Amino acid sequence: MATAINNVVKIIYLNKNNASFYKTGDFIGMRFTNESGEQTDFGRVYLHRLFPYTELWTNISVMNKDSEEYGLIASIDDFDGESAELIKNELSIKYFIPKIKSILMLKEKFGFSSWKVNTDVGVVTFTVRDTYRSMIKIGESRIYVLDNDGNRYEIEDYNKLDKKSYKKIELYI
Amino acid sequence: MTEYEYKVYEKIKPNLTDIENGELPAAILSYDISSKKISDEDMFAVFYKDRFFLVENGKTVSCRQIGPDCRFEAKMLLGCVQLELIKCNEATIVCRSTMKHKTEFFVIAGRLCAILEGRPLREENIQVMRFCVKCGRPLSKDIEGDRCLRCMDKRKYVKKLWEVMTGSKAYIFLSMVLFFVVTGVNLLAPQIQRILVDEYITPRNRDVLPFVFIVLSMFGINLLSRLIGILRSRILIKASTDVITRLRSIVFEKVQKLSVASVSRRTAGNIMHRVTGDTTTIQNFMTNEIPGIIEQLLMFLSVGIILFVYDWKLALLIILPMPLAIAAHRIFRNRTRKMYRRQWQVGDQVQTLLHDIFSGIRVVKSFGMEAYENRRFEKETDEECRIRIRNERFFAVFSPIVNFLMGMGEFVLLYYVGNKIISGEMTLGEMAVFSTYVSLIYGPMRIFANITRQLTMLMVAVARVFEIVDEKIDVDDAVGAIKFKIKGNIEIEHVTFGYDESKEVLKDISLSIKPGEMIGVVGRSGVGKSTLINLIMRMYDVSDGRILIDGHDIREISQECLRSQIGAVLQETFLFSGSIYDNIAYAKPDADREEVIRAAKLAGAHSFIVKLPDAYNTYVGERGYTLSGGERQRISIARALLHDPRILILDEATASLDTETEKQIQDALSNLIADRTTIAIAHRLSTLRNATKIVVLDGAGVAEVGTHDALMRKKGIYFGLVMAQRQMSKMRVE
Ligand SMILES: Nc1ncnc2c1ncn2[C@@H]1O[C@H](COP(=O)(O)OP(=O)(O)O)[C@@H](O)[C@H]1O
Ligand SMILES: [Mg+2]
Repeated sequence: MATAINNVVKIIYLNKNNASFYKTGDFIGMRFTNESGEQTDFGRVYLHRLFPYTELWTNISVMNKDSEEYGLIASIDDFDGESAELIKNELSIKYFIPKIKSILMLKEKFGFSSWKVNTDVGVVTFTVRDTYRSMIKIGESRIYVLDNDGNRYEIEDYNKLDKKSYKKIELYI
Repeated sequence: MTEYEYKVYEKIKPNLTDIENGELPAAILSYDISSKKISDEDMFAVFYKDRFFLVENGKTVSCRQIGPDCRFEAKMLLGCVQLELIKCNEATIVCRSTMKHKTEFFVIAGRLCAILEGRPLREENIQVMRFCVKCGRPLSKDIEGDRCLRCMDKRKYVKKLWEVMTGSKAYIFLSMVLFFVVTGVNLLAPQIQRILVDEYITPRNRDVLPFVFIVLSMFGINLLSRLIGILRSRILIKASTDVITRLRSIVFEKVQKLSVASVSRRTAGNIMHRVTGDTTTIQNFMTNEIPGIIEQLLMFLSVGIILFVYDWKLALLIILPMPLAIAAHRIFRNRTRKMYRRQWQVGDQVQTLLHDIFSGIRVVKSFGMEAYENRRFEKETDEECRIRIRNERFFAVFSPIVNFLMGMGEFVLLYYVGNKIISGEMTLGEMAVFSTYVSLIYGPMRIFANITRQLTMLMVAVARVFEIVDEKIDVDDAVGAIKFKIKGNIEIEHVTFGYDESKEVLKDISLSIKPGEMIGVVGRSGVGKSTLINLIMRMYDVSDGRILIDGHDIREISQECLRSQIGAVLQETFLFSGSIYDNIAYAKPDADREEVIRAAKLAGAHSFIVKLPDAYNTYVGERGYTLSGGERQRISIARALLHDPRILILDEATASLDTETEKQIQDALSNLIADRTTIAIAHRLSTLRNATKIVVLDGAGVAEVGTHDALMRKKGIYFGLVMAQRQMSKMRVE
């Protein structure tokens, strides 16, 4: 069954041999060479992580502006040099998920909780609507916090937080 | 510029170095990400017709020229939004922001494009962004007033609740009076106790008659206080039930009036919770908590006064440790509350998992996943167990300590009073009175420790209820909405619509439908066919353009009048819990048996209904008899037909039927369709062959319009679709 699917569904994997990225404005474009050796310039392309919670540098879809897929990047290691740098930069623009380093304040009131946290991109204050449900545990110790406006924050490993910060979220996990 | 932008402008004007004689900017956009860092300083992009500046921390950091060859685009990324400037096919970043400013980004991008192209501004381009005056958070559109829910003046809600309560004023007043009576009676009891001890027991007085009288009066007082108490609760229950019933019907009426948009923005569970859960909280509070609080408060005050008059030193001794004990209790409470909420939540997760497994038991078994589900369930219960143990351990240690602290004052009292009795300053009877009073005053203390929490719970419930009641109805009847008999002429003029600002589903759609025509709408799934129908039924209001029925903008037609003349068989068939008969007769409750059966026959439903043991009485809906997808569809078709609408809408109404049944129904319908406007969406294009006109939608809007034959000759998109389907059916036959 699985092999039958493999024969029917073709996935185009992009790597340094068949694709290269270049800078266009503040974004990236892609040139692609197909199996018969013809080269196409797709212009600006958009990147999209297929597993944003669990895989940062693997399984990245490359699409046009209408979300039609040109191909998949199996791993960023399949590229090197400028292309790899451009991919990394483009992803860091698209996915803006501050990493919480410490929690300065967490107060609950009327079913909302107000947070003030120190992140890798600065001190941020935000409000969370349903605290228990907005803290998503991934794996053993990683947590995503979703705020009221639709922003995301990540606690990479709650066991590594300082004691005071940990105490503040202890009861939620 | 909006009022808000103008305010910002006034603030940053001194920092703008390059303004010519007070030219006003076209837009000001706040953002908060700069070089991949979130800044807590204010940053603004200031747009003029021919250039824009970025102002960060009071300094102009960049200035760029723009012209008619430029375009602005707002993009929603993950965790941030971005404004892009597109010039000669090259896009550059103007500014970036967290999601806090997402609406402004889209509104202003739209406005700037309109200005650059020289188009007039639409309403959505100048949408007034409002911010909470207290915390500065953007206000959602459906809140009236100038504060967000968190900062909302709670007094306003108390006032509203009071307005709802005024209908039961007399009862409430009566129960208040009874509160005073009960407290008075309760205070009297210890005094009689004192007389009993001091004048009869201590001196060993053997006067039987007065002794019996005193005992009897104690009995009487106790009885009286209970009886009044019972009377009081009955009055209160009556009052609060009245109030809640009134409140519930206010909420319910309102929910019915809200548009689909605001109802589906909240989950059904959320709304149900507000109609029943929150109002129940309020009711509980009124019948149980408030009386308790008032009673204890009265008790506290009166006993406090008596104690002070009696012996102020003693009173101080009793009252001074109170704040300490209350504080300890509150800290304890806060922690346990969080602990139990978390416990409740894992419990809820386990429940959900169980529910999932059982309702999907056929899937679980058919894939042989029992062992996997076992493991999943075990993992969840382990987690629940861990949290329970953690909580119980904490509780077991701290709850005795707190209780001990709360009772501390009583030991002090014992020492003090004991001394006084030994030195003869106090009689035994007085001591009895005292210790009764002390226990009376310590009772309220426990309540006071909880009072803020309970008030908060009440206020949240009240706020949530009135939030719905106060919500602006976004799809509302216009003043003087008109009613008339619809002929069936539909005119769609340059309609643009998106469910949210970041994505337009329909763009500049125009279409003209004459009475009695049958229009087929085709297009790949997700292109917006159902959306178009939602707009015609005015489930949502268009963002731009207008829809006319018989020459009247549908926003001017009474919704009741509009919808009662449109019959729709929607993609998601919905059956109410009830009999098949009730479900068909739903839109026309006064229909007679024969009409219902006729409609069922026409919809091809009759044949399978008669095969059911209970035929038309078969109970369907959530917990009822399981019908197949096709059977459910036929019932909803019958429902729409019985309704005898002027405009009939079929949204993939026959998609779950086999080709033969579909053909039968089509034939039956075609007679019926003759004199009414019909809009049909169908996957199987063959069913649309009789359509007067076929409309092909694609991502950009209406791609093709014409009869089946004309479109086939044109060999465009429609032709392609038909060919592809023919190919498919041929393959199936072979
Ligand atoms: N209630 C809704 N809220 C937000 N987006 C919606 C809603 N309903 C549909 N959409 C989106 O609008 C687009 C068009 O949907 P729809 O009109 O149902 O398509 P069709 O009926 O042509 O298959 C889809 O991208 C869908 O995701
Ligand atoms: Mg649809």
